[in-house]
Amino acid sequence: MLFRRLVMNAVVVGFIAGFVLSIVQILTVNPIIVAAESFEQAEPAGVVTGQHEQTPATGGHHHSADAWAPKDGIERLLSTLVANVMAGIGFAALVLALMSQLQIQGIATVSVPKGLAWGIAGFLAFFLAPGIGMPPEIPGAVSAPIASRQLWWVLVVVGVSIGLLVLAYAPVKWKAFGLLSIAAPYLVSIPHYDGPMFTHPDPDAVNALTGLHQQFFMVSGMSNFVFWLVLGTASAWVLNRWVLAGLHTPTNSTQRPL
Amino acid sequence: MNEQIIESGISQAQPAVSSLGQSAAAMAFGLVLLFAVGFLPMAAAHNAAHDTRHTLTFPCH
Repeated sequence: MLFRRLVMNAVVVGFIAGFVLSIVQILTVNPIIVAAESFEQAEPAGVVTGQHEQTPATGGHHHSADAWAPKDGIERLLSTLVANVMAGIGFAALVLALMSQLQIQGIATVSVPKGLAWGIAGFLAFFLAPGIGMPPEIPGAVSAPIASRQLWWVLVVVGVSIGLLVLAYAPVKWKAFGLLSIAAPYLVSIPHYDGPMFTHPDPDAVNALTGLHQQFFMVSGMSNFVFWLVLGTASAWVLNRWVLAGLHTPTNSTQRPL
Repeated sequence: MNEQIIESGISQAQPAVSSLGQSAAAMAFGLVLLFAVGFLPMAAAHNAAHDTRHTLTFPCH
């Protein structure tokens, strides 16, 4: 059954990609997050960082005291690992479902080198495209309300994903639509916050945070790039090795309907 | 009974759900996971996935 194969292989790919991401992230991204949080925690109560717009009176720290949170150290690393693997499984399920349909419908064959291209496309659609409009943020940064940013994130990710798929696989007459789909999210308003990004009272801290913020784009970008390359190639590999093996697609036989 | 026998038994029949439907279901499964990791507003979910949300550019806070 195709569904079961897709999900099981997404789990395999998600574990691999999630592990790789965790290693890169723990070494490069997490130190920046922790450094940014040290400023956040040092902030005097009463300074509103805008993170919890609904509860500005609590001092703006976003980790509400009564909710569960992983303890710093191994617990936090494990919880990141679990979240990364879950994200990996989720992305792999989307990628494998799309790849399998392209191959089953006879539109394209997804070889491992093409999987690499899928990885690059995933990086463009899920990291770079939203990152251009809303640069990835370190803790403590003030920005537009969360709901509007989440909405735009979905908009841009869906728009760019569809656009890239259309450019790669649709007939020529649809290509203009692909470009439009990529451009449209940028033409509608991008959530933007007017005002200083960091409200820390100490100018030195603001300078340090600004430096961390610039570093963060590069470092998180690199982590995402590695993550997507692994996810794309592994997905293409399992697609032909396990997902569609024995199922007769137009590329191997038309004997058996799916 | 192993999978091979089951599969060969239905080899000439259409499965109950089309391959398109099954792929769509797999996509839905992926979206639910991504929602849980990146968007679930519950504080505990946010805290658990905090560093992942920042790294993968999901809007956080």
